[in-house]
Amino acid sequence: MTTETGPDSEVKKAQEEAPQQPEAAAAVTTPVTPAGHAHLEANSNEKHPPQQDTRPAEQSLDMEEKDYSEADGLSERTTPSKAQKSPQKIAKKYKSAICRVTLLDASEYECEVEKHGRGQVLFDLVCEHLNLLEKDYFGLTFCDADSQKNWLDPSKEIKKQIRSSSWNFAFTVKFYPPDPAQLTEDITRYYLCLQLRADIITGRLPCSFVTHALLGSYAVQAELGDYDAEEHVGNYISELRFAPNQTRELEERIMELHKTYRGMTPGEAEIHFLENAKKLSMYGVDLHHAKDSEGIDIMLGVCANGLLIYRDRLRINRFAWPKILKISYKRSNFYIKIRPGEYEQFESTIGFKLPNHRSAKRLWKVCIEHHTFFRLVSPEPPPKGFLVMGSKFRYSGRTQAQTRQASALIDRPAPFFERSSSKRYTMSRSLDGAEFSRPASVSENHDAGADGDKREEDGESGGRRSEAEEGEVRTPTKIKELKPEQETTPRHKQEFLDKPEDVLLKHQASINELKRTLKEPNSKLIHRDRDWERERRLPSSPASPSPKGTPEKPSERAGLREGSEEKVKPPRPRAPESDTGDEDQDQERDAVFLKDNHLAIERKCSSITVSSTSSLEAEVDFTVIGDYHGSAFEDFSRSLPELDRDKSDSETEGLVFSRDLSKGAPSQDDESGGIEDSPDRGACSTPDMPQFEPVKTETMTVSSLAIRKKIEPEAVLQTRVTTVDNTQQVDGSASVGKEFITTTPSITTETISTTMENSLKSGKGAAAMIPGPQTVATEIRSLSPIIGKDVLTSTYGATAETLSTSTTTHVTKTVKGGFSETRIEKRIIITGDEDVDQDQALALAIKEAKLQHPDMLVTKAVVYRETDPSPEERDKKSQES
Amino acid sequence: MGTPGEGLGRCSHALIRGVPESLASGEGAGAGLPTLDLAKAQREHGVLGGKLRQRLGLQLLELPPEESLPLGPLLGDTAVIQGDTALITRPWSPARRPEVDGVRKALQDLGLRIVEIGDENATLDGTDVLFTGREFFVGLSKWTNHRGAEIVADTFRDFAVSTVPVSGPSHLRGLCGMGGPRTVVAGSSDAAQKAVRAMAVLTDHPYASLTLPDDAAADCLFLRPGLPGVPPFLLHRGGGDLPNSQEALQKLSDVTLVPVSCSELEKAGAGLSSLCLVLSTRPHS
Repeated sequence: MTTETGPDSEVKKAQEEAPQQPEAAAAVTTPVTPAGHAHLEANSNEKHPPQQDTRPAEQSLDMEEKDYSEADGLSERTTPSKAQKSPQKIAKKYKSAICRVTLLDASEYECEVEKHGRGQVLFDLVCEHLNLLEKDYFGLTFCDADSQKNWLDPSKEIKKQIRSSSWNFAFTVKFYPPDPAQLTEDITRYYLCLQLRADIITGRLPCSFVTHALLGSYAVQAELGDYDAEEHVGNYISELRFAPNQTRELEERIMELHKTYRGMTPGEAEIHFLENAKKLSMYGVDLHHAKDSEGIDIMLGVCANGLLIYRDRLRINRFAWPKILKISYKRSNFYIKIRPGEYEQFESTIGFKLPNHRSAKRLWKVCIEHHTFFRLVSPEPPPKGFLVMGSKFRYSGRTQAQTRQASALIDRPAPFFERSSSKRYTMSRSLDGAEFSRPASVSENHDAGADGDKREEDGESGGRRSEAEEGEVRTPTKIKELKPEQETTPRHKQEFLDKPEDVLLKHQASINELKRTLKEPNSKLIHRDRDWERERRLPSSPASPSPKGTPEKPSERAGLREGSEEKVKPPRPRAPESDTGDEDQDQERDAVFLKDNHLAIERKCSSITVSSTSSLEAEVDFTVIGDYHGSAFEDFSRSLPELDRDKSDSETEGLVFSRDLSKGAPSQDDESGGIEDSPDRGACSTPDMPQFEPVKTETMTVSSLAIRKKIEPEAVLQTRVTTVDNTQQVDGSASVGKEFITTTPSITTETISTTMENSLKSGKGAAAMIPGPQTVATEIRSLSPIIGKDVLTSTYGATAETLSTSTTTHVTKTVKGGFSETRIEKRIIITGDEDVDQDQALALAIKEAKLQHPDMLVTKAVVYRETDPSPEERDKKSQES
Repeated sequence: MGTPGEGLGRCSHALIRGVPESLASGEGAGAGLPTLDLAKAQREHGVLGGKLRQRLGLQLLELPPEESLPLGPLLGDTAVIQGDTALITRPWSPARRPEVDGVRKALQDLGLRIVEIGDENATLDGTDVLFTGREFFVGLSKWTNHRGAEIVADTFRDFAVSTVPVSGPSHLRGLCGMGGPRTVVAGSSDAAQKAVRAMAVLTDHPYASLTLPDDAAADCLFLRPGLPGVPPFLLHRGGGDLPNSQEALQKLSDVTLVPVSCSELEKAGAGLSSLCLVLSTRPHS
């Protein structure tokens, strides 16, 4: 398969690339090849961080870079003068390989990649070919020697993964979005539909006759358009495949339904298709054969919410991610460590026997990836250091939260694409194999892990994503199992200290993410959110901070389904004021456009807000109690002790911190192969119980920030009941900070937005970040039944030069009509030097606030950034006051 | 498929079967059944039919009693109906298996798609199946085995079908039921609470749960006979039967409570879920 790039392929390549970017090809003549390896590494490094594809421009840049790496060899050859830079490498670098990728419509795409290229290179090529931007839901598979299907790891060399197998791949959906309607682009949904149609035909996604008919009819509408009596005569759909055992009756029913869809666009039909398909019980469930401890054949299903155990077709057990403390494998055994249930005292470990070591490893990897993708905010960095036992594999792509954020920024006209499946999913084709013959679509029989990793040598330390497995047998080193949950604090802390780097790194990732979101002034996301925000908020200015968040009630937002970021709304004309706000935002980076007048900037960031599951329980509890006064009404999984604790948490917070830690103490430990999670309740991990939505009391947060006459934080504090005064001094220049906070991985019940009000008052010519106090008012409020499934986790620590934070807390409890609402308003004042990364500090502060009230929800964060008062500003202030 | 949970309780027809005299005598299949007051049992049955017809406005079909089938009135054990599909069960008690014939015929006539259990090893009592509108739970009880549950999963493929171990002599539906599309009601016995906990672990969907003092009170029927928008009904055991549970039932909002009594029939093991089958002849419209 691997072909030396001879003149022929050169020509071919030239043909392929010529129309795109001749310039790039020319530029390529400068070989960047101290080591092709490193070069590629750089490439993929650049590609990975979420920043990348937020803008199409960058996207194309990436592609160019990719082309370099391919073209490098060629150009070197043709222009030997350049070769001097890296004389030795040249010979090696010329090699490239032809990859054949079976696409979702069963067509084949052929491309050439550098032989030592990483999976990402190929994946990006394919996505580019498909014109797909929301690509994080997809992946490439290949068959190994045992004809088992494996996921191609983007961060590793293709060659090392496929080893001796041929360079044949299949493009498939890897993470099935639980709510496809939230995908940004039709084209993404189209590919998802193709995948699901294949899943249905192969029987991987079983459904009833009625559903086959319904889905089939939408597929027909998407493909053939409106029913046309002239064009559609006889059995006009008999060529198409809709079900594993397609009957005439089914086809008739489909045609009957098709006639009723007149006027429905293909995109709409696909949305209908997906809305129905996503409800199927096996939607997005990745099945793996296994045996339980008694040797009974079962199937393990990995899905967005956790791990499902099937015996035959029956679901016999379920472990939601929050229930699972650790996942590991050893030889052909796969283990999950389970958090003790409400009525149990001890953690338990459940083992399953897989066909072989590779299948165990593959299952483990799939679990790690699903957990990270669906439950975390940002990927965990791989464990580092010499003493790491076992696999360093971690999911390195974007999480769902990140990809949603990123795709909210997609700014291109809906791409034109041809829905072509009808030509391929035909009877004739699928009849020639018992199964629909896609070479490597991953179905249940995964086997054989890509163990080539072992051989991978890696000098790089920091950002490397590749996996280095230190031996096949993982030996769990911890003996601390069987410990009641309650006493986790000390352990937890210890583990903290064990892994400062990791924590920091993770933190850094989160911070970057946050910063990016906060800073992206031109992003559509912000515009949309601002528009959205505008509906319910008065335009704020520092003088009238007006968190008249009243209309911004949780219930309403719940109505919006998972928060604002997904809300696709054509940007509406904005008030001039907000426009200036944008500009002002730009000033932060670029002092050229500084103006004297002060402006309010509202920004929304959907990633900040997180509520823990316990908040859920707390809310439910509150609701129940308030409503029924000790009745027998209860949520599936609530316990009285919890209730008490939640209450006390929300009322007094001084003491809470340590307990919170323990409560949210997912041991940061684990010997490599494990992942952990926090104590949420499995049962209510997807809370939506509109039935018991408590009526929100109209507590107004009168944020009295207007009194900010003084820059001295204390001035602001006066009016507040100060329960906690928490000053942190973090110092440390680079990576070792003193503070690490691990937060409870928690459930975002909906991606609630945090409103950032940012008033920048700077004198002319001032630099972007003028040292000054920054006031953050975080309003935490106990929220009622919430809809949503995302689960976010992250760790924050601070690495600031000098930074002091003080926190004020104001607790409001309201009881109205049997519902009680606790609202805590926190005022956090961050004072720091010029060098202080205020965004980071802010993130920390918010994180911490959440930590202190894991049972609460941050509903709003109002940020005022104050700089050194300039004369103008003082004037302003006097006016205000 | 509509909104999740929306399909729950939609119905246009109800099917019941008259009380034969043999039920009172404890003959035939009813080995070990306590003797009961036949007249009272028949009266209760008549009232139930009346409520279904008049109060809920359902088309009522009443199969005639058959003396050879003393437990014939408990026809809820003979079929599992969802949407346009009726799975004809294979009751655990061999003596009861002939009961399915009359029911099959009636359901077929109503236009339902009939699915049979061919497997000799499967046992399935219809009242071991709880449909929540989004998924099925099948109680693995004295009456229903794994194979029986598997056939439920094979029949209703759109839905997750989870198994719930049921201890004691009860059927799953004797311990819990649906009080609304998102509300599970359950008795307070250990068996009931255990079952509910198991269900809570197995489900992907959040339900609220309401615990009632009496297990039998949890055997209620959430029914939506009318047009959308009209509040649905909850057919439940009334205060005459189960006074302790009435207060808790009041907490179910958004349903119209329709109390009925079947304390005499209960002696033969009947509950509301076994005394009638409800279905919609146009489930997808």
